[in-house]
Amino acid sequence: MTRNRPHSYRRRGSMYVAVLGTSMMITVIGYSALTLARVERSSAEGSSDFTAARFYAQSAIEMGQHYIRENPNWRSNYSDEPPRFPKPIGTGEYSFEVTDGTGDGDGDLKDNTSESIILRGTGWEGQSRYKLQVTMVNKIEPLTCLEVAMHAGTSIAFDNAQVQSNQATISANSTVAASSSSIYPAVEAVSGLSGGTYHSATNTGIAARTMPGLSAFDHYVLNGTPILYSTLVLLHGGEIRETVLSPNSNPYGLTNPNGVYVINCSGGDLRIRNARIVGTLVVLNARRVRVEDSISWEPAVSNYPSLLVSGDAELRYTNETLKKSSTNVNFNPAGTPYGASVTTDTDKSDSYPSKIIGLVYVSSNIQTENHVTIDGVLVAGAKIDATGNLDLTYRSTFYDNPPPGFGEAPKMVISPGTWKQLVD
Amino acid sequence: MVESVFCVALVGGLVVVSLDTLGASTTAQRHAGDRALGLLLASSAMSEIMNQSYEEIALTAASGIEVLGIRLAQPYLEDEEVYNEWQQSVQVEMVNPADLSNERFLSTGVKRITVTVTRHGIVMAALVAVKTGDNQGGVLAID
Repeated sequence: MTRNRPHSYRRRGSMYVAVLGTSMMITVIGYSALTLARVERSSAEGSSDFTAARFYAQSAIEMGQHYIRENPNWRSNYSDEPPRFPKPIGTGEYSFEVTDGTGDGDGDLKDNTSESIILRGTGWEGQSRYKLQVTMVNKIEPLTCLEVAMHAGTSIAFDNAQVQSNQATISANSTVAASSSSIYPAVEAVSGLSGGTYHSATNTGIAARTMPGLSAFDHYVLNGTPILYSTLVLLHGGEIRETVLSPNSNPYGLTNPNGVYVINCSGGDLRIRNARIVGTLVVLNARRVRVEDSISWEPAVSNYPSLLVSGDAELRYTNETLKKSSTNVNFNPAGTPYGASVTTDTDKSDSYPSKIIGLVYVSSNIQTENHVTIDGVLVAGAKIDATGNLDLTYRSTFYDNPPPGFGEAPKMVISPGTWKQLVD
Repeated sequence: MVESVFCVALVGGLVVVSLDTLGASTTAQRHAGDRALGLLLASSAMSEIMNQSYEEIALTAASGIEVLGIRLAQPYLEDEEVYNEWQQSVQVEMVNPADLSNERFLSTGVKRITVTVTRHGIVMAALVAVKTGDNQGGVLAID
């Protein structure tokens, strides 16, 4: 009997240990489940806050763009008194800041209205913060008249005309009419088409294309070198002929590094013929401007116009090559090379295709006859009357990179590929 | 005898409490999963909308913004069923640029987009963002 007691005590102790152990295991399991649920909930909330903060940061960039867009004097306003932040959005907050993006180190937004900027946007939600950065640059939208090879601000009339090629498009902000003509380019008109024959697609009811304004000449007049009309009258009776006009060659006065020359005709006539021009010629106040015979013309700056005329102009040149031999003039002297091979020489035996390469803008009416070749864009502020042969080849250079005076007011836009998440 | 009863009661009580906790935990985990899925749906929809231009949001809302393969056909508020039990709504409102919580009826150049995802009528995720564009006569006053 006395030997059984210790066994009885051992069994009771085991029971306690088993109960306590089981209780502890169950408690640990329950607590673990609770902790796990809490961790998952916390993680889900963090993820939700992070996503919300990301969209608030994106919204902050939007609001920064809005601020710039709606405040014409934003550079001064922001420099003098930037908006106070942060501000509420949804259940969080946002802010944006603008800094000088040129890397010139001056940190001054006001010193140059065309310089790029850096826009940073920040979003907050709960414990999450998200920062984004973009670079904004000044972009000039091109005038839509530069989208086609030939455009008239009012109407186009073809009379006994042969127009090439079917790779180009011509358009008018009013009507296009053709009589005894053969028109190979596609034709677009705001109002209507009449006559024929049109060999490519025609389209009416298009939106009017945007045209240059009165300020189209300003940049060139300001930065051009004047050629005195009296000098032209004295030397060649009001003509530019049998000569080379370029950034390194101006027989009528000083040279201009961009080949921009301005002639104020003061009501007189100007004829341009049998000449090679590498540059931009701006003609003001002419009674009549004529381009005749053979001409080899291209801009010195790739996206600059070749010819700008305030008033009317007649393009009456032919496709007969410009020859040194017939004019006794060296058209590719030192400083004015010709062609892709960039050649110059001293002889007078070469010849050049007669055509105008580049943009021609005439603020009023254009008349073409003989055999006119334009390799670029021809724009008339008013009407175009065409007879004879007209060969058009479109160059998108001027639409892709509009010259001064041929774009809409510049706008700040986000430079592609500059979106960046900031971590600090 | 008393000790045995006490032990059984203690262990039994703990088992019940523990099972309840486990059940609640499982429910919470399912809710967390739902919220994560809701957030994914809302985030995806919002990303798609934010990739549209300011003008397109208005225009495509009239003709249908394609969100997660579902066409939202109404200009300002439309619910569409996503899967069987899920609903998502996109709300586009013109708001005051100076106070994005303040709706306006006239054009201000700032549209507030709210994407809400619900399951059985319970909000699982809601995201807010703004898109801006050319203001048509409105005046901005961020100060």
